[in-house]
Amino acid sequence: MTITLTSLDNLEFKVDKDVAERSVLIKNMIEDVGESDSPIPLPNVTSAVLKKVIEYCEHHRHDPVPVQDESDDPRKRSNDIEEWDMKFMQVDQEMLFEIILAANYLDIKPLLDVGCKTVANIIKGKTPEEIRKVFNIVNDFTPEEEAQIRKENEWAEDR
Amino acid sequence: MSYNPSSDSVKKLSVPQSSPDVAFKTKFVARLGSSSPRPSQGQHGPTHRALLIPEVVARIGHFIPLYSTYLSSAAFPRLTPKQLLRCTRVCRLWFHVLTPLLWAVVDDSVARMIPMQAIQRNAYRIRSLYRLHNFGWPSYVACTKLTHLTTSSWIVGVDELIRQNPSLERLEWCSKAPHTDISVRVLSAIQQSMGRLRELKLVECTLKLKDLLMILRSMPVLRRLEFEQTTIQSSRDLYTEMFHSAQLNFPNIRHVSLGRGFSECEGLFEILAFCPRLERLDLDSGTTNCDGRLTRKLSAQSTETLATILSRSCPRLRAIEYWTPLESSIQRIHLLSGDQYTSLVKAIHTTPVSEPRTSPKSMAPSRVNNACSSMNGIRKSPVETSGIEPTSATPVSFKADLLELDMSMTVALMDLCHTLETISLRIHVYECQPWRRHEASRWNFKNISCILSACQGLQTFELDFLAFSKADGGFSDTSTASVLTANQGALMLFEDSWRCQGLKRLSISGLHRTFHVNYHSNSWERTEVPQIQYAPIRMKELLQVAETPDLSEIQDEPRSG
Repeated sequence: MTITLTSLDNLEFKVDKDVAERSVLIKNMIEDVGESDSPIPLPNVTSAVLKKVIEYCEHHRHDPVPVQDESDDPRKRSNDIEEWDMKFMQVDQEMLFEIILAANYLDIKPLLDVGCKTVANIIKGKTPEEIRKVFNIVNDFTPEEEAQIRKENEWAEDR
Repeated sequence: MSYNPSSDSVKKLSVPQSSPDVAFKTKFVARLGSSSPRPSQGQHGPTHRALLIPEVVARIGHFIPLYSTYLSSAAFPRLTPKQLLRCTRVCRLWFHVLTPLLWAVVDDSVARMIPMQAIQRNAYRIRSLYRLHNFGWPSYVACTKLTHLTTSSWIVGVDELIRQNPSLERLEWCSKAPHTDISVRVLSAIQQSMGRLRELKLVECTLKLKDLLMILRSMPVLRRLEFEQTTIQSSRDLYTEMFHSAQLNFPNIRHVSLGRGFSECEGLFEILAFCPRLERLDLDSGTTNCDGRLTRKLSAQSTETLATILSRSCPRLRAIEYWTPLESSIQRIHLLSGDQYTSLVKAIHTTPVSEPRTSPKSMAPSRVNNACSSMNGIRKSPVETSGIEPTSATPVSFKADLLELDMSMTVALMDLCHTLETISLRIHVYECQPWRRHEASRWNFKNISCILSACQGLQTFELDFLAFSKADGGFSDTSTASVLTANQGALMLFEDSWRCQGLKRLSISGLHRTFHVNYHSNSWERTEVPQIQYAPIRMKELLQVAETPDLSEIQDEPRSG
């Protein structure tokens, strides 16, 4: 069965149902409303981003449904990204964050995780100032606050 | 969702008044709350709105490595908080969102690395605490919001720690000294304070069944129960009396795991009689117990006892997993015989379990099917609006470590032909000579062919062979004839027509891989024979030539590791 998705800029994308249902949001909508030929509007996602999201979902259409890990232990966490996903995420920063937002909105956890891992890898090895520069973040600490945080955490400077 | 530094979001991220450094943090939060809700303007343009959403920042922080296995082991990774701490200094939002991640999980290694004042100051942020030793810790750390605690009787004041954390959802307690005052106090604290506990694991404990049942009574929402190296002393008279007591059953326990040493304590089996809604049972056949002694293999009689209890008391049982670590596989110990496996499979009910229907939408009870496996992807029927729990959960996956796929096991699997969607088998073969291994694989392939011919709903089929041979007498499996013999065996898979029209994945591996084992040092090396690629026509010719492989050639091959 084919599902039609409509982006913010009114472009329509026809995808197979199992591809569309990689999004928990869309899957729940289909279950609630029932199967229909009416297009599903996605007003929070532009066509350029939706195209990338669909590309991801089509590649991963046969992946097992991710199981919620209730006992998420950071000691066992992995930051590995598959090769295909790594190439998929070689986009500019604007698109990267738009994909993250879209994955968050559409509730596609594996895509959200890949996006966030990519950002975490960008952050790796950078100082606070370098992180701010890369992502255009304003430092809104006062000098006193910064000094206090640094003092409280100086034990970790060499670790 | 978007980040709005309104009062609600400020309240969500604010610091409790009882925490240290209140003055600094109160001022910090107040300034955040007073800022106007506009996107930040960085040096080269606005900050992307994604980085202004706390949930997104938290998810990114989730993947900033907090531990490293560099210069350490995977079992005991090294704490490396430097990068996450740097991120907390980027801006206020990141400080608020990421600082809790830094302190969410704390273990013994932290005590050696972090000043105790820092731990005490952030104790209210700790959610998971792993304290098995008292090294460097004070006797009392003010953790009051724990959801997970792993601890032992080595920790002074552990009973008080349990009492001050009534919101614990998972507790793992290792009792090094089963008959001391500490154990009594801890068990009392568990019984009095753990009303919200969902998972309980007891390690190296010795308990009377009566005491354990009273503890479990105080945990109305407990869903998972685990034991490791634990002894339960049962009383037959008490058992009979309690068994018939309507008050003594634990309807919420769905999953029981019997860890190392379970084969030596049938008292553990009796607990299952009080779990009428048990869905999954794990049996861990660890090789050694805590004092290094080799554990006993589950006997045939014990298997029958267990199967009887399960048949009588656990009508909802869907899966049993008998797990063997690789070191046990190499030593050939603790793998069950085919009869034992089949006995456990048959203990699972095949008759429908009916529930009273109170609404037009209630589901008709469907056939309860079974698997001897690790559960993966249980498909549940829609929850009835009447609130009655559905009874039609059906397993769709089967995974097992087997010595061989014998006929009785094959028949047991074919009984599941209407529900199985995934089959994943790992067959252990312990023959030194390649041709014997290949004969064993042919036998297994024939049975697998029967299963594939029956299971119409199958979507995934995976088969892996673990072949072990002696390192000092290993055979180099490079002869064309031996490779072709293995291939011929694999071709037996296709002798009968398969019914699984929807098969999406077929994986067969390990045919040409051997673990050469040094049984003295219990170490092993793996060798892979380079794959031989054939054009289809050439394959057919070779198969015709190799119909009767020259076994003498294989046996006389030079023996190299």
